[in-house]
Amino acid sequence: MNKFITFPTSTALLLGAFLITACSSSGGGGGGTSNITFDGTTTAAIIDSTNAEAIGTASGEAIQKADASTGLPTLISISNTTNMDELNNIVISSVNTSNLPAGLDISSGLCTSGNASISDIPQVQSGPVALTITYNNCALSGSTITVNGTVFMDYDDISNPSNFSITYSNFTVTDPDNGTTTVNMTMICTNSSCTINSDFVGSDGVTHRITNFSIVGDASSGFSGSASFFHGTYGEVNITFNGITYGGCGAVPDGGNINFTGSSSSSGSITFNSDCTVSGTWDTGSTAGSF
Amino acid sequence: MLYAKSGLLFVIALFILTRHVFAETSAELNLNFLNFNYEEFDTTDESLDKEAGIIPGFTFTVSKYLNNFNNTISFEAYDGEVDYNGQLQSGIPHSTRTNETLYRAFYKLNWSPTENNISIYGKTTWQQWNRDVLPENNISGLFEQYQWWSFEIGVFTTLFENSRDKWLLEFGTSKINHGTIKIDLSSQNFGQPVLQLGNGSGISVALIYQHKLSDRNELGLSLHYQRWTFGRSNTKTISNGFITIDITEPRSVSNQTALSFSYKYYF
Repeated sequence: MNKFITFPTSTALLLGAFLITACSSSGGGGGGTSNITFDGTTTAAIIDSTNAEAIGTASGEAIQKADASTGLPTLISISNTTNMDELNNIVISSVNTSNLPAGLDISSGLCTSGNASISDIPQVQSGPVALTITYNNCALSGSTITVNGTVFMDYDDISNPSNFSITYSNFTVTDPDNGTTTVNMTMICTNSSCTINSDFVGSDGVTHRITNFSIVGDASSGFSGSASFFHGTYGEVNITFNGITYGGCGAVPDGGNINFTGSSSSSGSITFNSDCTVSGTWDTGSTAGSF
Repeated sequence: MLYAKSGLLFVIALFILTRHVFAETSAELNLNFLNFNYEEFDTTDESLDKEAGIIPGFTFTVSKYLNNFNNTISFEAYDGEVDYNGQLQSGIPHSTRTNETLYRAFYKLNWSPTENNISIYGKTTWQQWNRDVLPENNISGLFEQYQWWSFEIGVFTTLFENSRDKWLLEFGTSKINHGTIKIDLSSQNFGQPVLQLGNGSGISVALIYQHKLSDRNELGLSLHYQRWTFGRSNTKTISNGFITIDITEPRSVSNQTALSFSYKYYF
């Protein structure tokens, strides 16, 4: 079954007056529980004959690495509206509500069946704060969604509560339309905007990052979509891809193609073949060629 | 709204009853220090939180004596921070400060049928209380606005009086109905839901000392204790589009003692 997920560049979060969330990893983040952190070039890549194949090949690996913990992109669709935004907001709202002082009696109501709990909230003014939110087959009130599993929210420094991360670990979301989806990922939130980064070490030994991705499909029928890909050496390119399949060539796709664009009107493309060879083109804006 | 209209009609009726008679008018300004105490309880009568402290305020009063009737219209305001000691929704103990702002406006009619040392009075009061539990550390704040009418009856008696000094005692009992509370949950994207406060009751005791400086000038000192309760409010289900919760304002008890210094001028 094909599922669908979209991760917008910026996820507007419903952060209230403050908020208690968690961000254990500093700066970058990794899909799932990966500890790999991208620290490469973040400027837009200038695509030319020297790097087009390297960028294309690594971006092909990146699609599969979008979720490092499962080896497949993390997919989720909530009531056909996609989105991790909704899941994030459910979690953040749960924490925000729990963080209100007494003065108002908020009775249960978060779950119509099952339950949810939040670890003790440290009352500190600065330093790291980590929270664990546990949903035990919680059928969300006012919703058709049932969630189960653990979410970690981490602040590097609670005095700057706009920066945090949300990590879903074997978190399942069940809705009538899409069945059950397992989520393993970390979202990095800065100034109330969240992005999903998946950092990985490619077969070239360089650490790369894929982020802001929108993907449909699966490994056998082929992934299609778009993303931002950061090559650790050459920088950022925007990629669109179609029919990317895996299975016969290890981490590298064994089918499909990717178009990528960098700075200064430079661009390239790569086609993955079933015999594990690749071919493609490059265009600097003034000169062009193929490999 | 019904109570607001009833209160207004009550005031108009009292003025009509006392028109066309000789009037002695006075204006009074009070500087007050309010010992504020508030406590909320859950459904098992366990304390949820307490707020306590002293906040300053003032009262401006105009009175008109008409034969055996004394009509009084008064406005008072308080503003200041008190200590909050309570807990979070998760039950974790929590301490912070709360900014309390109170506005009261009342009309009071004293009637002394035989011009002796005892009179009875009726009092209609409108109150607004802005309760702003302040954020502390990484814990959010909570703003609530209470509004209610109370209706009080009582007795007022002179304990001692000579040419310059007078000691007075006042005791009353009140009923509170149709109060509302608006809760600001905008930060959590729940908006500002309004709940109906449970009905309540109260008592009021005041000991008043007055010292006449001249025929037109008078100084005063008073101690005024008030206690009232609110019942548990209705429950409202609200949603922010992501989660749905039920909210209820807990049962509460207020104890307030005001120490007041006054100056009164007779026209």
